[in-house]
Formats: sequence, C-alpha cells, structure tokens
Amino acid sequence: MLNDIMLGQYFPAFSIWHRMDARVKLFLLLLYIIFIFVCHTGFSYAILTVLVLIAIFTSKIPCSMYFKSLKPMLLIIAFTFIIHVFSGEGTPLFKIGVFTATKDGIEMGIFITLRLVLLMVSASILTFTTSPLVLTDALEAILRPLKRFGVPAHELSMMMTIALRFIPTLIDETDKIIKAQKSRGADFSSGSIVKRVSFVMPILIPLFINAFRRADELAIAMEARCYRGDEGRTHMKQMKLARLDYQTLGIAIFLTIVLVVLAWKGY
Amino acid sequence: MSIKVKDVTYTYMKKTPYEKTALKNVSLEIKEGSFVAIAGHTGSGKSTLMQHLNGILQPTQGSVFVDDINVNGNKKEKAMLRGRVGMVFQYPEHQLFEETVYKDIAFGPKNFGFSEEQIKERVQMAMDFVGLDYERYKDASPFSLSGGQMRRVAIAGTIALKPHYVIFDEPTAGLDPRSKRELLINIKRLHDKGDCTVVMVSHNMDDILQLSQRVIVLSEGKIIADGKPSQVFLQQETLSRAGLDMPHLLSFMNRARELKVVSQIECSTVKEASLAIYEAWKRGGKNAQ
Repeated sequence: MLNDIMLGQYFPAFSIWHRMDARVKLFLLLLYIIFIFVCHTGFSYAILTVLVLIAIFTSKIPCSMYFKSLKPMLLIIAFTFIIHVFSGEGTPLFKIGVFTATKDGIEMGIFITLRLVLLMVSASILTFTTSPLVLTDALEAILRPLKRFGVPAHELSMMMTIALRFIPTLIDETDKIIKAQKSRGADFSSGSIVKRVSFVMPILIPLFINAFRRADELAIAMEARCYRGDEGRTHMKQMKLARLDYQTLGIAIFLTIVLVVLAWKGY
Repeated sequence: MSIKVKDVTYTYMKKTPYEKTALKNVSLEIKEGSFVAIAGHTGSGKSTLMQHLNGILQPTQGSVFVDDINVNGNKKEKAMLRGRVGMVFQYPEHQLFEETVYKDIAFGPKNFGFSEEQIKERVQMAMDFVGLDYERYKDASPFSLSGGQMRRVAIAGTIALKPHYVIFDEPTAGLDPRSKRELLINIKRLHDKGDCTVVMVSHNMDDILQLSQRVIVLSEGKIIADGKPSQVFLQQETLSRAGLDMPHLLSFMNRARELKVVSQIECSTVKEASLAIYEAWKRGGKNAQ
C-alpha cells in the first residue's frame, strides 16, 4: 500500500555517475540548475536537453524510473503549462470562453514545462546514482567552510542522515498502524468528511509516540557509542577526487564557457 | 463455518525492481473452533498470509472466504467481516492512542456501532479477560502502564469486538517470561471456552507444540507441512527446510529414544512426556526382573 511510494531512491548500478564523487555531482547539479534559469534561447535549451539525455543514457538506470519520478509532478507541470498558454501577450490564436491563447503564451508554456522537467530529471539523476548517506556526507563537506560563519554543517548533515534513515521505517509503521486500526473497524474511505478526519488521530498519535520513542532510543544508543558531535570525528570513507572527477569538472568548465560565449553572442 | 483460503498468491510492490512474491498458490481451510498455529522463518510469508484472513490485504490472485463471505466482496460485508475476524498485530501496544484505557478498548466496538451500555459491557468483559482490574485501570492513561500491561490493553481492544476468529501475530514477542506465560494461558482459555477460533503466528515451536491442535509450516511463501504439531515437529527434514528448530521437549524425547529409554516419543506436553518415560521405565523394570 504505502510501500509503493517512490521517494528519491538510490538505484545501485555500475556507471560513471555512480563512481563519481558526490561533491562533484552536487556541484554539477547546482551549475546545471543555474543554467536552466539563466538560459532563455531555444538553442541553449537544446544543449541542456542533450546534456541531460546523455546523462540519463550513461547512468544505466531504466528510463521508466525517470518517468516515474516525474509522475507526481505531472499535474503541476500541466497546470503551469495551461496558465502560461492563456496568459501570454501578442497575437491571439484561439479562444476558450474568456481565455485567449497566444503564440507567445504557447512558447512560454513549452519553455516552462521543459524547465520543470529538466529540473526534476537532473535532480533524479543525482538521487538515483548517489546513496543518501554519501549525499549527506558530500553536503557536509561542501558546507564545512561555512562553519566559521556559524553554519552547523555537521549537525545539519547528521539531522538529514537520521531523517532519511527513518523515512522507510516510519512509512512501514504508518502502514502497520493503519492496518491495525482498520482491523478495529476504522473506516477511512466512507462516511462524512468529519468522520473521516476523526480517524486521522488514531493514526497520528501512535505514529508520533513511536517516533519520539525511537528518537529517544537512538539518542541513547548514539551516546552509548560516544557520539559527541563532529569534534575530532573522522570518516571511514575519505572523499577524494579521482581522475574521473577531474575530467568531469574539466568538461563542465568547458561547457560553461561555451554556453556563456553563446549567450554573449546572442544565441 | 470456516475460513477458506483458495489458491492465494500475493506480490508486494508489483512492477518495480523491488517486486517480491510473498505467497505462492496457498490453499487452506481453518475450521471453526480449532486452534491453528502458523510457523515459519522470517520472510516465509506468515504475516502476509495472516493479513489476508480479514481482508486487510487483497490477494493478487485467488480468493479468501470467511463463513462463505468473500473478503474482497462489497464494503458492507467487509466491514462486518472485520468484526468477526479479530486481528492482533505484532507489538499491538504501538497502536494505542486514546487518553484512557476505557476509551481505547471502546474504539473498536464504537466503530461497529454498538450502544453505550453494550460498549461498557464489552470493555468490562475484555479487561476482565486480559486480567486488568476494570475500576483500577479504566481511567488510567495507557501510556502510563508497563509494556506488558499496554499489550493487555491492546489485546482487550480486539477481544472487545467479540470476534469468532482471533488472529495473533507473535503475541508474546518482547514480553518477560511471566507476562508471556499469562498471555498464552489467556489465549488458550479464549479457545477452550469454545466460542472462538484461534490462529496464532509464532516463532516459538515450544508454544505451538503445547497449545495448538494443528500447525501450518510456511517456507518461501508455500505450505510445506500441515498437521498435528507433535507429528509435524518430528519431521526433521521439513523443519530444516523451513529453518525451524525442533521443540525442546521433542528433541529431549528424541535423545531419550536414541538412548533407548523410550520407543514412542510423540507428545505435546511435559506431562505426556514424563508419563511416556515412566511407562517405559516401569516396563523396562519388569523386563529386568
């Protein structure tokens, strides 16, 4: 039931993206997102799209997984597309009631749709090819320089790690509690809204109590193993840039220059 | 009247890389008034099978009938069914949520639309059954109780439905020995009173041997043995295939047979076993004379 939900899940495979340093991948994603928002010509979008297609192809993850990751966004994407089609200015194409569709509007709609899709897919490439633990480690490494300005880098990444670790556990638990309350005659699918809402409590209260209990146990277990923050803490897996990472960074810098030059020339 | 499971196959997370078939063509019938245990290693599909018996899970293929009502039938029938087949999940104390013990136990009967008096009577009966003093505990918060008491409250929540069939999933997991023994005695009593069929999923072969009339052994989603526990548990090969241990009592008797102390080792209680040994010893003594 609830197990069928897809969350930014890690798919183990052997590809260059799986081998790449997570910090490099994060940096690439950031760069890519900046370009998605800065670019606004058809030609530059074509380049961005081709880049993502190459990445999908080389990630050795079935294309269907990417479609699945887009699924929850489809409604929002369709909605923004329609809004744009009917809110543009310029030559009117056709009318539905009081709404007028324009050529500019359709163009804008296509751009926005492409933007959203590229955003989602590029983020999926990162989460599909990087295990959550490695990802939080990379985030910590990237945020570490900001520590002297008071950014609690280690604490943030530890919080994220714990949160990620407990998502599946809590989903399982919710599933179990729903089943248990259903067995006691709770009916979530019929009756008035008020009645249905009243059945939220029998699920939320046990869920919260269990989450607090787990948090308590985890804190004790961590302290029992001498956890005391990042002071003097070392990592078993040291992150080190390898040849692949330098090559990728080189290509990224080259492409950045190309795109900037193209933009400057007006393409 | 019985629960009939017909050719049930169940697949988790269909059409994803994590797809897993938990049950493969399972068929069985649980007769009214019996005490059936379901045994199997972790991941053998016993919890999945159990959740089919009151329609919480819908079979991917096949069908389940309770007293000739299809559990995948219309909504009304389904709702009625859940009152008839009570389900006690693993660690049932994790589902408690009300402010008082009374309210929590009353949650089930209330959902099935009983009147206030009927609910009160049922709560009293259920608390009495699990051995919690009504006056003393009815207004207590379930979260102020000990683990063993919380489990009793949770079990009372199911008993208050007065189900014809009760399904227990590992009811004694995580309890101290004394609470465990008391709970098992209660479950046995529930069955012996004669108006309740008990299905118990368990890891503990000793408990199964002692309590149940029939054991169903699952392995990798299939039934590999079905019969009297004292006979099934003597099939060494079946047990090792299912990854289960022989009950202590039977391995003791097995050793006794190897040492030629006894010849007949089929038994389900310590009393039966000691009687068999005593008989053998008496006969042996006579032979020696």
